[in-house]
Amino acid sequence: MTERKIIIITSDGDKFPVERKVAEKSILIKNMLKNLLPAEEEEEDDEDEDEPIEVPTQNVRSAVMKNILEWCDHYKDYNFPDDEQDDDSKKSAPIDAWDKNFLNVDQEMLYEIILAANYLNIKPLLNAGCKVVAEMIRGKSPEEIRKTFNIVNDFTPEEEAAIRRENEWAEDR
Amino acid sequence: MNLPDDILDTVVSDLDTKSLLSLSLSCEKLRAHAVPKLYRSLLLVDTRFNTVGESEFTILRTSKFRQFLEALKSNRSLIGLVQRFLIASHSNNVEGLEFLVGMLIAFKLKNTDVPLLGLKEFKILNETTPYKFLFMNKEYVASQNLKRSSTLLYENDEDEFNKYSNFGQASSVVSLQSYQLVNITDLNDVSEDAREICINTSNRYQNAGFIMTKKLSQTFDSLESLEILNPDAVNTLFSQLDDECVRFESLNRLSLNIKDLHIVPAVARCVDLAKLDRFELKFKQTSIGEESEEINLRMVNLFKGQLENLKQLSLVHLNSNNLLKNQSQTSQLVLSNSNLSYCIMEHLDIFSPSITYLNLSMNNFAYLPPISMSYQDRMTHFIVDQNFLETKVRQFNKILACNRLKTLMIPDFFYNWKPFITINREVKNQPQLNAVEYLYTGCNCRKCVETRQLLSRYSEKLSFGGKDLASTYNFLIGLLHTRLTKFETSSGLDILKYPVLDPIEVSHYGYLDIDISRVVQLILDNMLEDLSFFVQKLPKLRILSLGGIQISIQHTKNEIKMRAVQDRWSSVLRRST
Repeated sequence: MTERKIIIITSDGDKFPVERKVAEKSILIKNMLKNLLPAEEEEEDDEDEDEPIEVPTQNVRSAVMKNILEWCDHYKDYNFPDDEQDDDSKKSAPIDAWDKNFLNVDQEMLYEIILAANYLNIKPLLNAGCKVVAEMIRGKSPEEIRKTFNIVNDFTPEEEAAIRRENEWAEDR
Repeated sequence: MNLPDDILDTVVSDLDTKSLLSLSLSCEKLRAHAVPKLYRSLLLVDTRFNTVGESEFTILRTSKFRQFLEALKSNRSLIGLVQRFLIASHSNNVEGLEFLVGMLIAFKLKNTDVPLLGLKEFKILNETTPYKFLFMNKEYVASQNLKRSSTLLYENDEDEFNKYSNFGQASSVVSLQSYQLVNITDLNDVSEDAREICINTSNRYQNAGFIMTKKLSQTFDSLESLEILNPDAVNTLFSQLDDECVRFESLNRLSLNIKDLHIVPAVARCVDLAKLDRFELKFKQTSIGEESEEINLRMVNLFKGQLENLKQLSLVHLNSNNLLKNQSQTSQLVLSNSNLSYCIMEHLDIFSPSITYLNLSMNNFAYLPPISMSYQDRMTHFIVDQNFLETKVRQFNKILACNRLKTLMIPDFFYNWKPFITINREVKNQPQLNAVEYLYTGCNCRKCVETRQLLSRYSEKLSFGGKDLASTYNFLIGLLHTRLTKFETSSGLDILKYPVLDPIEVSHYGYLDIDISRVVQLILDNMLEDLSFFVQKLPKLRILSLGGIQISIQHTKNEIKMRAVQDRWSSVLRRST
């Protein structure tokens, strides 16, 4: 039995043909397909058998989708453990080296990948993305954080002094 | 940063305190995400404590407590952000603590219509007499009610009276998610939203029963965690619960200290054992009689096949005397199922083979006497026979059979196991019965040689009777053992939960400064075979804690890295193919 083709259509109209197990890394798409393909084995003689299934994704543009699908393809044969399991070890786990390299993109693209992973419901990718952003913050001074993320300091000197005083208790030694 | 709020919260949840502080000073938008995380879970610790790794807690040192209160006073919105306040400090008379409790309760009272807002848990860790938070809570609520009622005093006395008495009954304390009780009768103050209850009654007379109400049965119905630190309280509570036919439908964590095993069937009737994923059994068997065998085996059979979803297990024998004494050996019954420790070790597999976390302490008395196989030495030595040694080997292999373990803690490793077994690609009898010798045979690097000289110097100065290395070693493993929290007052399920450690790196003993970390380095360098055996037998193991030495294990493609988190020691094993 041949598998029906799946074509993901991006917000800017590009079409990406993908394997089903790649597309199903997105829980959103997986659930969509579940509804579109009820009991597929039984309907083998259906005439639109060869018709590909088109999946529109309004919120993701082509350049981002290309990245997302590369990630999905890399993990297509890997089963991520269930959420409830291992909550203790998962939190402290460092970012996977491949993910880290994969997410080594400019900030705008990183944000777009995170937003797309959120929309498409790809938890492991979303978590990796959040970890990368956290990594960009870690160990930096307020000034360095502003510089990294292009943020304008909107505190008055008085406010800043008040926050510093408020924070004093948490500063370790 | 152009990310939606929920994603920013995920990002922030990954950050340590220092980064959160920086973030709070970067701009208003990021400050709004950093501050709630900073105040959510607080752990009050003594200034000298070490912190290890990262955790959900923000560390608040007792020396900074005054500044913390100043922050709360100057910014009134902060108090509502505090959800969990845990005290690991040994002193619970920190100045200003009552003031903080008052603020926390006042906030809850102002928001009684939103019970989930504000404080959820207030707990003192490791204390024999828990701070009377609930009592203060009651007093405070009552005084607030009184204030409220006095303003209405002249309107309608009768109505007013009803209102007051109703109020007093329905909510005598503010609702929390987690309660620490010093009295069984306090159960009647617990709100129906409670998820966790820890009972620590330090006196027998505080164990009077509770009144079974509809509210309480609702509470028990949805309770997720129950911990009882005193055996008398376990007896009182479970006899009454059993009489009232109470069932805990949602319980997934249970920690009990049991003296009288006759209560176990009642526990099994009230608790759905199949739902438990964390279970702790602490016990104390002061004398071993023949009749114990039947009781012990009955307990084992009650648990058999029942704990099918168990993930975390802690078994602790809270003996107050040293089990490694000849008196405890003379009886034939010691190596039989009449001995609860023996019985539990023999049947370790009934506690589900799929556990990932095990804390196992079968001797709570950190002392190792000299050992001998010759009966003539009975006045000075602990006498063992071949059967004893073979039992040790067999039982140790039962621990290693739990091959899904990610965390293994053996607090009594250095005096209850190590002296009797040798690990060399398999577990064997220790033929020499010399507990110290291994320190001199494994590694001969300069550091080890120096530390051995250091050990001899300690021995000379510690006046344990000449150059007796064994006594010094004994003293040192005793010191190491004190790094662990006391099981009488805390749970073996929580050992890794709090990111602080009591530092006993350098111990001042008289005029002698003993560098414990150096001794740990010597110990670990000379038991690499043991360690590599552990990591090979237990491929999922990530944390191994032996007698107060905590080792983290990290697997990479070709290597296994081991690191003693407190002791500046690490080692790399090549992965065998």
